[in-house]
Amino acid sequence: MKRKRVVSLKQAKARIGYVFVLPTLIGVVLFFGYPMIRSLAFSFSSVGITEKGIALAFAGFGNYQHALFVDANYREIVARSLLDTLINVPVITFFSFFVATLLNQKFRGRFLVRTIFFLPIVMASSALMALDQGDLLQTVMGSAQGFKESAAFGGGNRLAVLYSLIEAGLPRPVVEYIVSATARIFDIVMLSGVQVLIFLAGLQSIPRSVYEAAMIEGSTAWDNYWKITFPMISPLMLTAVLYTVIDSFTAAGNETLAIIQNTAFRNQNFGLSAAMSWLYFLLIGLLVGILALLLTRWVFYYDKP
Amino acid sequence: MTNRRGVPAPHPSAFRAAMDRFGHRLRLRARHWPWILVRTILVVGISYIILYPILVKLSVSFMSREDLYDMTIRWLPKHPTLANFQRISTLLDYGKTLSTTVLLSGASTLLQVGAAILVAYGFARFEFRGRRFLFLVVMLTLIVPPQTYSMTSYLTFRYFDPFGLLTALGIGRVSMINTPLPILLLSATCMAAKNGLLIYLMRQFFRNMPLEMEEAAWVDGAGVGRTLVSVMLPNALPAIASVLVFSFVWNWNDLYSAALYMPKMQLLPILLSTLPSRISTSFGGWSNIDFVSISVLSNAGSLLLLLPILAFFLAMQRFFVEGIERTGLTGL
Repeated sequence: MKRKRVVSLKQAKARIGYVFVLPTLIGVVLFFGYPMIRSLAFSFSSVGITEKGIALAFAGFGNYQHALFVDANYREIVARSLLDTLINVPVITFFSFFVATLLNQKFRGRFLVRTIFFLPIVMASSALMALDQGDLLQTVMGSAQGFKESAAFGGGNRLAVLYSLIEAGLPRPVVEYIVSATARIFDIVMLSGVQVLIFLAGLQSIPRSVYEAAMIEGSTAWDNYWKITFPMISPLMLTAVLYTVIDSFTAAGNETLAIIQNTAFRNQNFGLSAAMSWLYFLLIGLLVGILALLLTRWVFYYDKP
Repeated sequence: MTNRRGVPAPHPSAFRAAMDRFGHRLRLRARHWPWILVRTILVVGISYIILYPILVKLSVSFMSREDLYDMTIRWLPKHPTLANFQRISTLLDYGKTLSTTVLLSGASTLLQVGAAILVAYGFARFEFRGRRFLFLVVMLTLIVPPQTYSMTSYLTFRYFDPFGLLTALGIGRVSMINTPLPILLLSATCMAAKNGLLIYLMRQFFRNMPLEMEEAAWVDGAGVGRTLVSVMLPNALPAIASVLVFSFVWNWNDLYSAALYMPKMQLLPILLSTLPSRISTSFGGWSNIDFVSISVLSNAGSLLLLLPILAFFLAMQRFFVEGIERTGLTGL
């Protein structure tokens, strides 16, 4: 006689759980794990394309050495990506926090303003970016011929500002810093859409009763901001910082990604490209790990004193 | 006591109370006016920075040739024309390209959101071995730049044969390049661009929902699927709406996977990324066209990419902001 197998409720629930996460399980194995392992294998080999397919010859750390010590640009470009990120992250975080507090106040036309402030999320298109960058070149060339320089992009304007400031007698580095700072304002606004959203969601979730209690105890708006809003929002600081770091390292316009891409698809050096991207990935992972560790120690959790 | 239209007149004291409230608000405003001024300047300034590129594109692409060379015209064209749009839309075969792009983005969005809901529910409510590890890997997919595995991922789809299954079935390796299959497969398995974020958002939302409702449904005899569909989903609509918006916007703008897996398909981002050279070809070479015309036509082209997604965003905006406020993003 066959004995019926008894399945406990816990086991049954675990099985159902596996069914639910099945899509991502398949994806992680087939379309993430497998390509990642293969790319790791590529990075330790010299890769040749034959008629039969891909031929790998083990090359040890050769690709890594090449990327770090032989390639003329790689180190410098990675350093620049890192520096860019380190400069942008605090600026973007505080800017988006500030904007979120603005948007959280009650004023007429708030709905319209919110809509406008979230537009950068929609406009972050790499196709559009490529077009606009091409356009800048054309505009500068066009303006030399006396065309409408301000029309197609602010590029012409920026040049004009640069020249007029230099003529006004300001030292050149100062002028260049001012111009690059104003250029950065544009980038920073365009890069902080999602972060504004994260902070706004956080601000909305702070219960009003906390503020009311504090007001009764005699705290001012300034106290409230630094002693209630700021600590309550600090977990989201972590989220926003990590999002900004990852976004800035993996954004479509990133130079390091461009050089990795070109090494693979233009120079057909797949091994080197894989080594470069693994080094880059390790750098990102390291930075994200360090930031997460540092920030979690500082973050305030309401339910975990 | 009623007035002419039969509406009861307010009690005199109600009027006085209203006036008091109004006066109070005025006094508040008087105290806060420097801040209000600063706030208004900031809000208007930042809005201008954000809207500036769109405004410039709008203004330039309606200009005729004589307007472009007229130095007195800054924003409003004197001789507005649709010629630029007509030229670009024939060049892009806009009707067909737009419908292909909408269909593909829509299909991947539905797959991504559906898969994200299932997976997030699994992560949020079921205990199973390896759950933490699997979730960590999902988060890891967000950190890894797609370039790290794009080459090998391309090869996977170029010679598609998971575990040698297709060869075993006698079909052999299948090339999926230049078909929508890779992107649809990636969407269905939560591996398309930024899909980990969708899972993260939905999981946070499900975790913050009270357990009691589900338990009540279980007690009443509903199965797991029934509980998800009839109890969880109706309550998760705001979160689903915001996840839907994110997913559609990212799919729409995802030039990278489109160019990698289907470079020859007629999709808007692909056609637009090479627009200037297409324009010059349509004029019969770079020598037959000046830079200004190319710039104007490119601007009209980028508007044609931007406008549909803007319209979608504006239509969904109300749900979007409300939804994101309720996703429980806050409870990390």
